[in-house]
Amino acid sequence: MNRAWWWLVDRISQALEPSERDAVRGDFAESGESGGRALLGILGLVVRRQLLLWKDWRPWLGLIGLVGPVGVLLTIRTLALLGGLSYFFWASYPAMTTGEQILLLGGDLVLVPVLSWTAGFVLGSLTRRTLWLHSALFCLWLPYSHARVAHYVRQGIVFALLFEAVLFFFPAVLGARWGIRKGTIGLRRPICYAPQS
Amino acid sequence: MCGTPGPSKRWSESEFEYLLLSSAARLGEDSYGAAIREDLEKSIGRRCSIGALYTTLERLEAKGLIETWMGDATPQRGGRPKRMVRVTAKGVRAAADFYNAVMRVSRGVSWVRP
Repeated sequence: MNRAWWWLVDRISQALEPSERDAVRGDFAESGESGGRALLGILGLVVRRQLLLWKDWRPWLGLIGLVGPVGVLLTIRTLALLGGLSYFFWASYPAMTTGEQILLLGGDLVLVPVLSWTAGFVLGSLTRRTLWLHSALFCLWLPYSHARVAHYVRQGIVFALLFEAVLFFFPAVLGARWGIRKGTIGLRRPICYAPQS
Repeated sequence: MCGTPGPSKRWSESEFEYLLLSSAARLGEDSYGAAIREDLEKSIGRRCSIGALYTTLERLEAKGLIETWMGDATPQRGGRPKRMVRVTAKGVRAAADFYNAVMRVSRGVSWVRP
């Protein structure tokens, strides 16, 4: 059981800055803390750290400005795109063969991944240490999205989900990774990127 | 967080800051996370959470009352470094002012538990 506690302590302490993580783990080792107490201690520290992060404007901007509206927008655009694709590939719907609609479909095929990447990038740059929470909230849209996908694409649900992952999920993850690597950005860059989202 | 036995279970933020400054000043060159925690627990007779300790250290550092840096790693700590703490001149002044104020205001007062 003690090993399980320590494994959890290890996992949870990943949310701390590396220097603080080392200092805290060293303190636990030196004071011979039990696994259970160490787990409570690290949980308390991580919760306090997370709460302190929300004193800043960036996590709030990420939540109110991105996770909510952009999550809805991207879900709607992805679903529209999947609906169009399902008609195009499976239903042979005659209206979808017009040049204009094929152009719209092609536009969406570019727009959705670009928007997803941009949203991920801005979120990664803005929030960094609260990104896991923002991502979890962002993923709250997925059950709704999956239910709608199942409605649209009865013949190819696995293909549709794969498509959704390629167009929506992976670009957002790549954008977030890029945003984290670039570090925290000032106010000017999010304002420049926001209209694109 | 650490607390006093009795009806008042918790220290306020500023009280805990003062306790931590006093402990760090007492420990001198040997002042670091685990040592401060042990010293505080001995002094106040209650457990002190690592969360309260490290967030208060950060707050004190942001106020310029202490300086911290990463010390050497030791085998006793599983090869991990210590977060060393030093009370700054500003921290000494702030702690002394607080202590003097408490001493002045307490003159002639007898605290007897009901």
